[in-house]
Amino acid sequence: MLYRDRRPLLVFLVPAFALMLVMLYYPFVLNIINSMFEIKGMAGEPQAFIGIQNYRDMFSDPTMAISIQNSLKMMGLTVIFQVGLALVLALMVDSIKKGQQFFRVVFFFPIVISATAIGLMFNLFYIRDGGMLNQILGLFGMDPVFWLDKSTAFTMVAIPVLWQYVGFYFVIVLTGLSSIPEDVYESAAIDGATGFKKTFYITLPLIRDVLITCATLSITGAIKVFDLPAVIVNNGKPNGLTYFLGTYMHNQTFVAGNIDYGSAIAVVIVLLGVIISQTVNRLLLRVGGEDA
Amino acid sequence: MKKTLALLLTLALCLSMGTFALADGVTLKTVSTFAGTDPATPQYNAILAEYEQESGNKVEDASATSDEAWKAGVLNDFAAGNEADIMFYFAATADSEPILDKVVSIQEINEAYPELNLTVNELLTEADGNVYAIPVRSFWEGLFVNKDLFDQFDLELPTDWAKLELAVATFKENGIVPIAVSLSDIPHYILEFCILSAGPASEHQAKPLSGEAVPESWIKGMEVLRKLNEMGAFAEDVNATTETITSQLFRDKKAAMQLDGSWFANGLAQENWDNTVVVPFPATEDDADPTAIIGGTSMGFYMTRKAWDDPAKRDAAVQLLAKLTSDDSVERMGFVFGGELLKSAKRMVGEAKAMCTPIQDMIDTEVRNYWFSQAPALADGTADATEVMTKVVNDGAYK
Repeated sequence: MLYRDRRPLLVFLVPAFALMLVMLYYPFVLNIINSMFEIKGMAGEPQAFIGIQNYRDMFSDPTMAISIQNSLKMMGLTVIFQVGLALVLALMVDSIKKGQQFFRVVFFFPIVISATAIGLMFNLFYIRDGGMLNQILGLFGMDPVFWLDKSTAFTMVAIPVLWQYVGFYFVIVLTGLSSIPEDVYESAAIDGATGFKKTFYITLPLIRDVLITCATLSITGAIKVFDLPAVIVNNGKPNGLTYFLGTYMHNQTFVAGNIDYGSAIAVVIVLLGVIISQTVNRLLLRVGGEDA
Repeated sequence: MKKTLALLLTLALCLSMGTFALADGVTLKTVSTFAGTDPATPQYNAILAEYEQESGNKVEDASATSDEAWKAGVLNDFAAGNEADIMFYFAATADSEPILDKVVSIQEINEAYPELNLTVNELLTEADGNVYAIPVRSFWEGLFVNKDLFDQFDLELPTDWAKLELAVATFKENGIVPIAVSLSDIPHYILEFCILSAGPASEHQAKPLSGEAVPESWIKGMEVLRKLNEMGAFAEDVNATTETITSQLFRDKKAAMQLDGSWFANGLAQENWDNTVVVPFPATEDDADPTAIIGGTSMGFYMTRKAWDDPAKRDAAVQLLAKLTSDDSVERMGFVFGGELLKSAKRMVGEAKAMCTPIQDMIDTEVRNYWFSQAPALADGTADATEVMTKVVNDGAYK
């Protein structure tokens, strides 16, 4: 036994647990309680007990439906585009001999830029009158486009959200790829496996756990998405069509002062995050084969 | 070498601690809307700097441009016990109601410091009969017009609905945005004026309680908004732009008109003072008063209970409050503009038979958020005016 006397471990574990208890679990429990009382404004005290009224109201709240729909759409897109693109890029970069470090830096760079800065940058791209995209169109004699139109606004906000985190998953996948022993590939090469066969039958199964982790992280990240939409499409513009669960919770809590409803949305975000990430995790494990 | 370095660091630490211990005065926290493009910002900052020099106290100011998020931030600070000592905030409105037990009435300050004789402005009397804030400027709202654009297209100023319609059609044809506004960002000016244009001023100020009939002009006003949108009065991106962008369109002469407040006049460049005028928004109904405008006094300087109860801070905070609200400061922080713009503003205010308090200042925050969120849908016709305004009233706009 490496740790015969486990008591010293408590010295390290208890403070961490206490911190989690105070900073995470206690507020979460309090949040559930708050969602069942009428609370007006941030300075307001809990008033009448309303039970699950807020959760019932969600079913008749069209903006809540839009928020859930957008968050679910974003989840799907993150798995396909963030993890998918990261995988493709990582496979390509892993196969080159020179310049790996350069591409690592280039693809990872958006992560280190503040989301607010990226949001403002994309805002400047999308402005109808004199925005960068419309200036480019103008150079080709084309009419300006209203990028944040009802039909395109979601896509326009999804692009920077997806783009920002591709580099994050790229680095994780690349690290996974570099951990595959070279002799496995050598053996495969002797057996005649090259190109796509090598990728599909050797590489992907060996980084399956890494991909599952990336998918889980991207899904939980997507359900919490807040900063970029808050900057690019504040107030869910246009017409509240680009609200996500995070931005709608913020609007209800900090702008409308509807604290109890905001708390209820926060509970839903946590529940959805746990349920969906667990489901996807198990699904992926099953699809990939337990013993793979 | 390491020992020498350690000794030097220790000495530096001791000296810095000594400096803190020897520092005179206290540090006061302030928050206001004197920030961003508000032209009174330099004067406000200068007054704070003068106070620091005169008193030896420090002031940490966290002012920001006023919007819904700023209001929420002030309330959040109160909730977290992190409120400023002196603040410039809304008074005698729905926004001030949650903080009344955390601020000190001016009467109470005057009792303890009779020599100051701070102004007790009855316009800012709260429901409990007390006055908690000292105003330094009043405001008015109206339709700002780029007169040079009207002259360029040989148009008359939009003093009645027919002239406004003609102006909208002409500007639209010529690729100029007729009315600069962001319905997704700051829709309240146009919402208020649409109501005012659709019925008597008394209906605008009706304050219907939940279950009571919705004033007719509140519904008609929202239909005016839709009509304006159908006429092409707004930019294509009216439901997805920001107030900063739309205001810039007006300043750059890419938009002909904008509904805004007196603070907007302060932000206009001096070379535009003679080619910008402000007029009341035209009436759309016969029973509406064509001279009626929105205006009044809705903000003032507060002293928080937290600063009042802190013996170390009380005198310093009272001193700062007195300084910020002195006649000299009021004059310095007042609105500064001139030319035709000032003349038209004086004319508009002087001729106004009714000056209405904004509905948005008086109603419940949650209801207000709902109403504003529906502005884009009301404009493009995807929301029904009667349904929205009935919900506004029945959800308890007025308590």
